[in-house]
Amino acid sequence: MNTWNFTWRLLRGRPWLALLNVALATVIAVLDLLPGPILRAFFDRLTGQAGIGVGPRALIGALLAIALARTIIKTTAVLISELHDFLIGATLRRNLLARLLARPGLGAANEATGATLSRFRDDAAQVANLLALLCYGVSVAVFAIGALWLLLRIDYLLTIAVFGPLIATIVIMRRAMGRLARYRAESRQATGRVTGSLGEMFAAVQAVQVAGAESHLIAHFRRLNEERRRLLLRDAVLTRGLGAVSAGTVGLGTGLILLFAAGALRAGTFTVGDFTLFAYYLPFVGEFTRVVGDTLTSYRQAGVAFARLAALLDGAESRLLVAPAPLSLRGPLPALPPLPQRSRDRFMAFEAINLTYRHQSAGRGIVGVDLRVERGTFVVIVGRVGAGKTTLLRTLLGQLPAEAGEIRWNGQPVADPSSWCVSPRVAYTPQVPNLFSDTLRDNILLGLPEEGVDLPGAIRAAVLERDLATFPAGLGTLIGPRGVRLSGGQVQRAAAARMLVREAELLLVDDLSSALDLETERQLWVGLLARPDTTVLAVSQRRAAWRHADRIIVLNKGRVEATGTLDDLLVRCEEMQQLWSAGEGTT
Amino acid sequence: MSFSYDGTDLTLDGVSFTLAPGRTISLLGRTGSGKTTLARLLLRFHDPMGGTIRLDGVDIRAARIAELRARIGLVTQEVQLFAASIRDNLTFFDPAVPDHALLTAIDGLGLGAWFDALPAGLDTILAPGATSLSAGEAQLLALVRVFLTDPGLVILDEASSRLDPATERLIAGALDRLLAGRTGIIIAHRLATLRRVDTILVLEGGRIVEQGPREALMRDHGSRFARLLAADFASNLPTDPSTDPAGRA
Repeated sequence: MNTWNFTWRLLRGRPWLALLNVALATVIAVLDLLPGPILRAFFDRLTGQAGIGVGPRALIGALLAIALARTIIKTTAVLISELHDFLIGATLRRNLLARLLARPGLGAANEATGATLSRFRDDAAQVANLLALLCYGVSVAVFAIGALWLLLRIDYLLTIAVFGPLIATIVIMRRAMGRLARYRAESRQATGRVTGSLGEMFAAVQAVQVAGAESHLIAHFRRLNEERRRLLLRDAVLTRGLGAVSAGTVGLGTGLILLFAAGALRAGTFTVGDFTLFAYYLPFVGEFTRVVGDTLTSYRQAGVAFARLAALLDGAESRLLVAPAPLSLRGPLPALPPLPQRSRDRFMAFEAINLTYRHQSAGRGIVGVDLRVERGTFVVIVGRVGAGKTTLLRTLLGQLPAEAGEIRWNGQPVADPSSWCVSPRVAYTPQVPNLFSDTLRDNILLGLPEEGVDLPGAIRAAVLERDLATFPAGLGTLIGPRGVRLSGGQVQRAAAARMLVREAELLLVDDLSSALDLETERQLWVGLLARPDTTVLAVSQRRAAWRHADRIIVLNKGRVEATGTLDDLLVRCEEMQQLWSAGEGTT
Repeated sequence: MSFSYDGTDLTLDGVSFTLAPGRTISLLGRTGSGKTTLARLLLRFHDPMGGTIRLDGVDIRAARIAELRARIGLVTQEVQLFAASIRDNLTFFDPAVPDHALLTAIDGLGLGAWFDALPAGLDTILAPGATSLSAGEAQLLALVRVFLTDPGLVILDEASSRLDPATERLIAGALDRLLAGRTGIIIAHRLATLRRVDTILVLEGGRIVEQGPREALMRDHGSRFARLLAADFASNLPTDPSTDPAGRA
């Protein structure tokens, strides 16, 4: 999709607001035009060069009335335009966030969070800015056409002299477009590096302090900032420079009018009123030049912004970015839509057939994976680092888009796993849980209504009960950014509680117990598997989990090497034997 | 020493122990028992509410924090990486560290083969969010970071708990070299890392509930450590020992 396509879809998303915006802009243009002929009549009457039947007082009254109306309508227009601006930006940000949440494995995974934030902030604002300029542009264009018509009737040569420099400006603008886009993209990237580095430093505070590397980190941050300053300055100089060219056109136009008009005035073909009309319209023509220039600039920069936003999504999905969406700005937040629980959807079996996904950069991933998980079973995925265990789980969940293969629920193909594999069908605990700077309760519930779920049951099954008793504020305890106030094991069990409270039919668990001691881990598996009708597909490095498994799937270099029970695999699967004996030094 | 995060509940409650130079101690205990807090006190992220910590007989509060931390290396389970070159990740952006020092550290930890497989050596750029490295490789980088600063005391906090056993074995060699001739504190859930340890210290609810030489505690079947070992051993047996191909049963 090109920039125009994006823009058009955004405008169509809120058609009434866009129309109102344009309508107000048109009225303002007419109100800007009207004083011209009135002024002309006023001066011509004063100099006795023309006679219309209206006295000077009435003309002054008309001018005042127009000024008043213009003030009121402009104020309204600014409010409407700001609202439109805000809603466009919010829609873009909302859609982007929705896609990132649905597909966390896509583009955003390849850059630091801070850099993604810069896209949310600056690029969405850039697009909203273009739409505001386009609506304002309508006003200016209506004015220009009206003014052109009025002026041409008086003196076509002088009119060309006024509008000529404008054309020249637009030509200069067009020539500078490519450079403008490149400068903008580079300065945005530099900004992304700075914000990204801020996020990394925040996450690494302890490591940096232990290493005593505070000053080196600050020096590094200075270098990134200096680079950003340099690129932003270059960007700003070009943008402002082009703006100055537009503005200079006005001065040039005034000079030309004076030169041409002097002769005509003497010859009597040009009245003082005519001169007043030209002089009154001239600044507006300058404004027109500026707006055309700014719009062209902004259009190019918005193209860069669109590309940067779409880069976070799949190519085919970029139209989702501009789709109209409810923003829920007032009143209580809408409840989560309940999933239709049809009896034929009751979970019986989950399958993957020939599932393939390869990471773009490393080429690692999964190739042709077949697996099947039946209701009530505990299936464990094993394999060494880089075997594709986490990739497999994330592809099953639709977080990573499969290149080939199919996922089936009760034998039926699932078209969009990322929207299908959600609670209460599927719940998931990632390898590194993401906790928020909020209360423990909100971190576990994540928006579920507390009265509708078994929170104490989930906490018990997650072996978090004993820890909870020691927390001063219980479930209301604030756990700090990324859950820093919890121990590593508590973070993992809070994530397990978050998964369990969803009471999903199928649980996907990625290496849940790596920060747990043996006894806590044993309790966790017992608690998990004791839940009635629980089906678990887990990645685990721990023998404790392997021993509980009904079936083990051995992954090796992204392919399924063998499937079977632990005893069976220890006899016939060499990779399993190696994984097993690698942990032999335990005693 | 004693410590509390909120001023009322004691996370550490009257903990005393001595660690001789060149020896290695292991802190065991269930999750939330205060092990990581103890390490944070040593590095002066917090100061104990009661009691003192002495390094070579000197209260650590008497030293400058930078000097104290320069003598201690810490490896945690989460390794924080930057979207930058391997070189900058190892040196924390210190341009004064020469490349040969980095290469010596990498060789010294026995990671030459791993390093040779990197596409652009020290200039290899890591993707943001460390997506281009496995958890094991990230741990290797963390070990080189510590080895570079040549600290007298090394603290390993769950340093290898997210690795598969095969990768863990690769790292075990590097760990052995890192700890050689240094004083070590190993915080671990998994007992596989404990071969290097001289003394065992078991924490529970912020108190030391067992303390002693590893060998002695192993022989004493009533000790908590022996029970932990037995539980770990049992969990590692296949369900039917007769089918164990290596005959470990």
